[in-house]
Amino acid sequence: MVFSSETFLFLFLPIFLVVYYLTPMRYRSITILTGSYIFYGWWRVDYLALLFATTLWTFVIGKRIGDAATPGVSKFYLIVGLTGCFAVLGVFKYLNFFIDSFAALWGTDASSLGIHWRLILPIGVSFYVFHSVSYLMDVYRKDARATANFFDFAAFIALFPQLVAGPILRFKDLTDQFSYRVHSIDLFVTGTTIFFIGLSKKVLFADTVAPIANMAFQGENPSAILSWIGSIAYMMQLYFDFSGYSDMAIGLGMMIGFHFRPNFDTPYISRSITEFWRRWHISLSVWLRDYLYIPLGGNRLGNLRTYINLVLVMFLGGLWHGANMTFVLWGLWHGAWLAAERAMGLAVGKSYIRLFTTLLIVLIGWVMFRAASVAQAFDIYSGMMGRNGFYGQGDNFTREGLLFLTAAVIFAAFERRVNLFSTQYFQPVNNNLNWRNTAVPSVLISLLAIVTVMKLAEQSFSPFLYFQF
Amino acid sequence: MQFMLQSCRLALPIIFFGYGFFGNAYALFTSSIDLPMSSDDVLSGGLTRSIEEEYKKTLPHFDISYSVIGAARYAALHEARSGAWVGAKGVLFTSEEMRVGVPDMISTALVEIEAIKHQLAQRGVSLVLVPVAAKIDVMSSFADDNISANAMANIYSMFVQTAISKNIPVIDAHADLITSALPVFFATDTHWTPHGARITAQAAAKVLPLGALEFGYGAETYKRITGDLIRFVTADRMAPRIGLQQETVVRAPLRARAQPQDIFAQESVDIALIGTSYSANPDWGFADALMFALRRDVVNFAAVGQGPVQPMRDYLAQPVPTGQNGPRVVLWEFPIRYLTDPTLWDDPPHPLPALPAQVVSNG
Repeated sequence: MVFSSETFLFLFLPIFLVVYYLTPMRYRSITILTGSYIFYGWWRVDYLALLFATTLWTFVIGKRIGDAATPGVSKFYLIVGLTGCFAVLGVFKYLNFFIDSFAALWGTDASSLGIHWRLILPIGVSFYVFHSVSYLMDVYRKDARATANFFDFAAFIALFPQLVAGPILRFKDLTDQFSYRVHSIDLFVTGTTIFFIGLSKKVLFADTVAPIANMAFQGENPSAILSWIGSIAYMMQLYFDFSGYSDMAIGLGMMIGFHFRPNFDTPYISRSITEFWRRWHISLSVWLRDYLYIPLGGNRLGNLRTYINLVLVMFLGGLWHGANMTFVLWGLWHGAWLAAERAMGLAVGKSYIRLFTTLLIVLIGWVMFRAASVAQAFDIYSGMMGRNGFYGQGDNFTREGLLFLTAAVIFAAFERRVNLFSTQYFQPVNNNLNWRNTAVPSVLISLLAIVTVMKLAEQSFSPFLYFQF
Repeated sequence: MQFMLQSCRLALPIIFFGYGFFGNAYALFTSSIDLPMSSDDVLSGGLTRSIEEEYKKTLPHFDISYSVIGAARYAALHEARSGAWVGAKGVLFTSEEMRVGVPDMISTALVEIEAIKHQLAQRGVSLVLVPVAAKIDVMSSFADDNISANAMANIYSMFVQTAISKNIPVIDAHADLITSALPVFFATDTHWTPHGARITAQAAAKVLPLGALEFGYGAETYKRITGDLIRFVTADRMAPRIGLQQETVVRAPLRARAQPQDIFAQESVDIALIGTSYSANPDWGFADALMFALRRDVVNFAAVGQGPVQPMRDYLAQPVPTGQNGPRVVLWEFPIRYLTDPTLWDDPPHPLPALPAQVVSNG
């Protein structure tokens, strides 16, 4: 199930909220757990077993770490726990990749080696494994206490607002909220508003520019105009899809009293790659910093080691995104730039030139990130350099796509100012209500929600099913 | 006053969840859903996917959204949704005619067609190709996209020339269709008009030997149709409000005027027509036009919605007719735009899937 579906919006969410608010507070973790398992099992019931097994494993190991008599025993259980968690990731996410890579070394493919099965990638496995890893490490470091409440913990791991697309949460940040959280009409209304802002970003921007991006990445020898416009379209699609989902997750959390930290902070106004990674997928950056960069030594072991750590962390960060060499190279690209900025003292940028160079570096990286293969990425790069001509047959951009792409670029550029304006203009000060800070934003967000829901329905309508040539 | 202001802030949740309640009640009382229930479907998510597909169609806003947003897109931007393009004066074209072909598509097609020709020859049957030019080629003056129009024209030309070079007879009506004074394609439909079908049939009469039957046409009838491309713009009932009117099909039933002199002669139908909805749909009257022009009986094996290849494969899979009763000539109506479909010769052939929106989560 995805948030941007009628089944979630009009069936699952209303029923879940009704059941949730009818449940006494002390049992609400069970309600969250049940609802989350229904949400996840909607995709595939059989993969619930993996989610449950990972949860149980982490919970039991966490208790062992917490109860360990000596640091040595604690460390032992940490290693066992992490091995189990990464084994899940390694098998279900990367086994197909390793098999294909191994076969490629022999100049063949997997089926020629007698391997005819393929593992299905469980949705959300990267996120819930990272949640599990962070919990074990926090307990080991004594940043968090091992919980004795299995339902709270299981509800945290399976928490449906963030299960399939983040933000990456940490149990120590939420454990108090599982015990006690405030529910209010204001919070619920705010959560609903943020949810629909996120849904609008996804439906009106991301989904509308997606066809332009797909045009660039599905053919061969794209023209210059297709390469550039398609890449920029993907840049917008990825941001609004991902940040939209994060907003929806934050909004859903608020509807049930949880407060999640923002996951994006207008990343496309960054003036250095260093700044970009403080604004993009913030929960991942923080996770990588706390659980990978710092344990590797961070910047405490000299300049060279710092640069190596940066590259290594981004390499692993790239690999986390997917089992493909393109993600690895994307990670290395960003790691190299992070290291270079640090080495040259360019981590902070101020000028518009730095803004555009940062956007260019990010765009080049996104091309590799999106491409199905390294070869396809270089095909796009060739197109960008004009080697396939300026314009080609098949460069059929729709006015709708270009219009929404333009709107998306403008919004991404001025999103910070829009947020500031909204906060200043539409938020009541000292609970002083007037038509401007009640009726106006309500009407605007309601209209936006209606248009978004209608667009969602319209773009899923498939005439081909209704008639045939 | 404060109460009203406070209440304003609740507008969004009230509208959203209120509609959810109303929509579900509406769906519950007005719809029924048939779902697959095998254990495999339950475990693998097939059941839930079916529920999702069926559920959204039951909600009251589904059809309204499609028609309103589609109409707004057409009125404001002069565009249709993915699958169709809007030309001048409300002429609609299918996006299939804008597909970029692969370099060897024609040679691949002719290899397959040659193989079919030989299969038919083993039965004593001759194959004659009837390529149908793309609408964007014939009506290029209404298309904004000259590149695609020229590309389709080039594909037609190369296809015909290559077929002729391989001794495959071709009915080439391209020039006649382009120079026709009357419309040969409907403005809002993918298909040719009965006039376009007749022009093609007359071109066939210049190539094939004529028979002895005589046919005539009865009184004309008029039928209003909604073009199949309109549904890529908006709902049928909304279309007239944005200038997309229904079109009129003028048909005249075919009548046999004379019978063979030998009343004891066995009836034989020596022409089989195979193809797509261009031939299968009686509204366009292509089979009738062929009978009239060729003065021979034509049996129609064309099928709707399967492309040009599958009906031919189905025909070849049939038992070979015995004696002198089987068709001696197969006319294979073949819309040129299908040549750019990379799945055309797959077995079974399938249409290009709709491109899904990018899923951000990588697992």
